[in-house]
Amino acid sequence: MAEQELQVARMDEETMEYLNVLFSVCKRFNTDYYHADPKQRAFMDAVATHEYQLKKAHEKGLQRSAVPPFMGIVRSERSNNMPA
Amino acid sequence: MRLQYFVTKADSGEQVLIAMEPAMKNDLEATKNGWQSDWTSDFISDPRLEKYAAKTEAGEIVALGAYREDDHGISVFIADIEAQPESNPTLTKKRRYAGVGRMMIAYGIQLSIDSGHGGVVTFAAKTDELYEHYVNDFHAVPIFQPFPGGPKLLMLADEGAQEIFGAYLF
Repeated sequence: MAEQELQVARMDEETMEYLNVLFSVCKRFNTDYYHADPKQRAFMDAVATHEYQLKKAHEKGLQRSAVPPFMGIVRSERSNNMPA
Repeated sequence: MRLQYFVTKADSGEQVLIAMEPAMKNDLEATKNGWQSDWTSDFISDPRLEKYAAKTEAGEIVALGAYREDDHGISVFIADIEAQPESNPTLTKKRRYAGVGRMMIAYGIQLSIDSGHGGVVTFAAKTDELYEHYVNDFHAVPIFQPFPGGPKLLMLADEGAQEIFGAYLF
């Protein structure tokens, strides 16, 4: 069987921005993403996704309420009204 | 031990030696003629992307690659690689050269090692079939894709990176 030709898709700016957030989270939690177990990876993904959403909301001048609560936490009204 | 990049002629299997060089303006402008994408676009012109050209000894551009170090020293992003139109599987069924993508990924791994990122590269799989290939055969680790419908992201390191890069060590 002929060897499969390896290709990659173009990675857009938004994706690279997200990956930079993910890797900052990995560094902060001292987690090696490649060697982490699935549970650790899922946690890194969840934190990074939340922080990325907060970052984008912050850039748009939105309140925290614009971002879904992290893992279902019930926010106070005061918290929801804080800047993202 | 020496490092020598190469591609193979698809019809004969003959190896063609390749030199990797920083892409010059005229290399990028050549993509206006029949390439899948325009490498003079604003996206590619981003100075954070390091652009390289893979050339034969005769100066033929076989592929272009755009790479970027992440901000936290974890990996090098392989932001884009594109084979010349004659060897691009998306544009032609009968390719002039094979092994172009593997070589450009290997170069990303070399950049990653050189810049202190440990040979770790991050990229987006072009197809679902290739995604499976990267995961099953090169032990690539999937990265959660937070954008609905976005590309399937992968991280490649360790033995998978060594297998790809090692093909060019003699």
